[in-house]
Amino acid sequence: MVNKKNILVVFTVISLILLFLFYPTEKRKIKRLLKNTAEWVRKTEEDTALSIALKSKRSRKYFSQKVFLKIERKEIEREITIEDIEKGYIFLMGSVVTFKATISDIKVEILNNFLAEANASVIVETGGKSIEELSSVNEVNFGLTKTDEGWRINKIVVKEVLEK
Amino acid sequence: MEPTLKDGSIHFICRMCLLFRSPKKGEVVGIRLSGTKVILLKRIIAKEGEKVEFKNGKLFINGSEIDEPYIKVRSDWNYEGKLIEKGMVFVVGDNRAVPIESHDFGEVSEERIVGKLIW
Repeated sequence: MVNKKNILVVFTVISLILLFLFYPTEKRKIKRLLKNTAEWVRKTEEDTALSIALKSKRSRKYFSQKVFLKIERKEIEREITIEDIEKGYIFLMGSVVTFKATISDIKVEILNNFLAEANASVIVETGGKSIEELSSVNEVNFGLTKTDEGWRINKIVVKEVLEK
Repeated sequence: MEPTLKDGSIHFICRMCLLFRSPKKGEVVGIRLSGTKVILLKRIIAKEGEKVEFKNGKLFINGSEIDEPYIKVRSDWNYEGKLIEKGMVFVVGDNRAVPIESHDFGEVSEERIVGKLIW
């Protein structure tokens, strides 16, 4: 009887720890979304034009209908649509042999039930074709909005950490 | 930071070293981005109030040419002068063999410096 009680207590404690560690809070959902987005823009040598075209349609799982894009170093500041993102994805993936984005140091701030901001370090590595091979390290600020389908990115600001 | 630091090599940053003093010119420091998992390693070449210029690869601070013994490959960089603002430093990597457009360098807030490279 004592053994059964002990087992029950241990089981309950382990369950609580697992629940605490893996419960999908809003912050965890956003971190997962950003990591999935980084995975989405990964291209390997095995990818084909067809697989890229199919993958481009998944943009709707990550982005809202309109996204504000700002790249401080290039002085780019404009609103792009989800269709622009799909076309841009196909163009970019067609221009490189390999593409990899690694996202880390994700810090999420929930502003209210429907809006959030996230800051992260993003390393982009490309293997060339028409675009030269490069590796760049950036700090990126994301704006997020919550829809019926979940969180979606509605703002991307690539910050200029080192100001030329 | 090649050739001073090899790509993919492991290094140590002393975070305590800069707790009680400001980073000095010539020191290689770690610069944080969003957090401290990804850090840029750059050399401080100028501090607030100073004007930085590159003329045919040579560094000039406030109009005077500065000797850079850590540079192994001379560049042809040309960069118009920039006056460093308060609370900022100017950092550059040692790899001047790459074109100036592809090199990450510039003015950065001292608050982003996480420590000094010790090894």
